[in-house]
Amino acid sequence: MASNVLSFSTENTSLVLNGYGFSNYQDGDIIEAAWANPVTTQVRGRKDVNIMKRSDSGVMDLTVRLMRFSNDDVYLNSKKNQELPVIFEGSLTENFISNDGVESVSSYNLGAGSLTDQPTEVINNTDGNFLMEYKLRFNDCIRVI
Amino acid sequence: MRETDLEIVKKSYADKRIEIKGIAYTMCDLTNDASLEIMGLGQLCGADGSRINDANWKKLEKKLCDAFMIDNQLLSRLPNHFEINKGSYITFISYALAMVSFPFIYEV
Repeated sequence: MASNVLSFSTENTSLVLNGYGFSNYQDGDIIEAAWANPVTTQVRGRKDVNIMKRSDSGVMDLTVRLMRFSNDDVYLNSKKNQELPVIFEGSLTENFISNDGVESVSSYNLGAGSLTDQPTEVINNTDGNFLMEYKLRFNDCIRVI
Repeated sequence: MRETDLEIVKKSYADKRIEIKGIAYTMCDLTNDASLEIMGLGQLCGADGSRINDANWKKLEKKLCDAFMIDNQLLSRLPNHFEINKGSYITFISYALAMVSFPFIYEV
């Protein structure tokens, strides 16, 4: 069964939240995005089925790991420390070469999001402990191609 | 900076975008530290291309490409952009650096 987790290479993906572009990733790292819910709900009767679009089908969890003390870390940390929760809107845009050799983009619009979990330090046994992991949940996401 | 250039930078800073040869470059929000880092590199190697061989020029280019985007894509994620648009390169570096520096130097 396919996973509902999407991975984006930081080398060719642009994450922009509230007009701020993120770039302080570990070399070769990925941004993880996971749909939290299915698209539809199906309720089976004996001979029929009711299919409804779920109102929470656009919920997506995003995980980003940023270099500690970098500008991106400072930016998200300052948002986390604000008195009122900061609402994030933005996009996750990946550029790639399509089958016919044309440079193309695939984009996810991210709406109504906020930081959820407390940021954690990512331990790495070869490079030391130099990353902060942030988790955000967006409630209104769609894929645009 | 000539007055006309200053007017262009002022308007571009207000709009957070500058159009060069039909392509709109949008400035991202930047932390103070990020802006000052770019300004410092700009001071070291100039923005007019006169010290393009300076070791800091590549750093300046990288920082500016992390700070500007086209259609929600950071320039740093579009490695071929200036290969295709060579004529925009120096103009972009000059105006982008001026836009980042503008609030520190000119804004009242």
